[in-house]
Amino acid sequence: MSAAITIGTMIGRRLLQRRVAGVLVLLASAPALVLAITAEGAQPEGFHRWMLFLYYALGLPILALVTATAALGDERHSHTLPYLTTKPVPRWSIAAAGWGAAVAVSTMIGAIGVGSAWAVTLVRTGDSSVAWPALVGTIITVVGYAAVFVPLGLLAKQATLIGLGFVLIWEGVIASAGRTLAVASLWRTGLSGHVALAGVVPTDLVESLGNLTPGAGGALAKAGALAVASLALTTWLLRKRDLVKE
Amino acid sequence: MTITVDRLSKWFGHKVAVSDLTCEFTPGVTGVLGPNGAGKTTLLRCMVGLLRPSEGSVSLLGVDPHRDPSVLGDVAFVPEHEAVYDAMTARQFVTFNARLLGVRSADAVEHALETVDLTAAADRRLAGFSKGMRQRAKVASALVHDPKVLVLDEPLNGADPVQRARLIELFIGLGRNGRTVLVSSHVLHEVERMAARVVAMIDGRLAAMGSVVELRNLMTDVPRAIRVESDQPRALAAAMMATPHVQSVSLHGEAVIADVLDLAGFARAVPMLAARQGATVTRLRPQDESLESVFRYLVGR
Repeated sequence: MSAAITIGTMIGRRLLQRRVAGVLVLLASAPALVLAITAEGAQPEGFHRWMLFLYYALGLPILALVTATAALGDERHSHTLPYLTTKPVPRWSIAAAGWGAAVAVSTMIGAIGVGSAWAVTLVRTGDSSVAWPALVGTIITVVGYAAVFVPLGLLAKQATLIGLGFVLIWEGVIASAGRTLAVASLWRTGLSGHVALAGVVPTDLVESLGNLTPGAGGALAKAGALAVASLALTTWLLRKRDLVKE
Repeated sequence: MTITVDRLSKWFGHKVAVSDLTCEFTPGVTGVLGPNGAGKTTLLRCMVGLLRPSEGSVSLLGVDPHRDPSVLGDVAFVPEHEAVYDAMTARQFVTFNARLLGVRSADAVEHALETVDLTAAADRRLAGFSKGMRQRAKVASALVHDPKVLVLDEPLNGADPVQRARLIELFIGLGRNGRTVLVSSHVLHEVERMAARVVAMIDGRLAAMGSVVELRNLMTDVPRAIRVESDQPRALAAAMMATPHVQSVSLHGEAVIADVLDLAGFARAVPMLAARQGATVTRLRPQDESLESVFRYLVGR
């Protein structure tokens, strides 16, 4: 376990030290900017609506994608993976460290976005209750995306591009086209937790869930199951695949 | 045996990097030689579990590192790439590796840094290090847990002459202390200085294995170049050519270089030839028992 913490801390620091981390903070903070300058910022509903459009549907998936694909992907593609895999460390520890670091850093950056949007809403409406459903929704979403993108980063050199296709085409277009496919959308799973905890939300949010029933527990269980499957897959990749070039 | 490689083959798609290679490694320094693309790095990576053999097996201290990575606690690997964690300082890098190896002692980290002469630069970021300094940081991280086996892929790359000499002495010392040290290098005279044994690879195959002298002795189809220094080199050269032991001679100032077919016969004949010519032989030594000449022969054949 201590090896996983050591590796996870190292990967987390590395992810935060990248220049792109600043861009991701700005991306996550986009709803706060909109809420600050538009009339919708004067109503608590505006918080939920802009979190849906700018945060759950775009900012959060992209920040989770960029962070999670780099967690173990950077180790592989910058040739530092041998420092981990030639140590007496169980492969599941490396997998867990990569996934944990991706979740922690994405949540941290997401929380800055949620916090800034909450602060604007608090100042403009006096409502302080909007933040925590979004924080829970962030964690659920990030856990799910990290489960998909951490092993993808380890496998593919163009993981970010492939992931962007997944986010924009699958989640943005295909899953949005029908109510049934919405169930398979990762950010909608997070949003279902947000909606369940927020209570009264604009109808846009409920509509965007399709056939997905709002519920934080179910969403968390779904994301957790994905995470377990992902850890098993990443561990298998670390054990069975040649992860250095010839 | 510390490391046993049994019928190891490794291919990437259609490209065969290592083919049916069998060898064993014992304590001491062994040089792994070969031209670019010979399969040295692939062999070393298979040994430490970074690559899975396509066929055959590797056993480290009696254990397959893929099945039981815990054996890697007794092994150190210095990869060829100069990649390190740029944002870390040398001390952080060595400490990080130490923690993964279960070493908690700060003294071990300091000792490893001191061994490679990096104490003064220990708190500088690796991003600002020269290639040679990075190599030394990697070697320090490999030494921090006092491993039984060291697998070093081109560890002298980029090091300046003084540091090269220090690292060579370090590897020789580790070999003498019972560690199994495998060093791949392109610089033959340095391998010759540090390695009691060499493994030569060509096109993914084992071309030769043993000490340099042993390898030279196996090359029975190649005449041995013997340098004979004398006060009458011309007369001696002519007399040598009349014997069946010598294929050709050439004069180099006071010396005759004889390409000898039968070394024992030649050794017996030289005193008699010198006496007959009234010549004094001042020195007689083999000219081609260097690793370079052996290697040139292996690569060229």
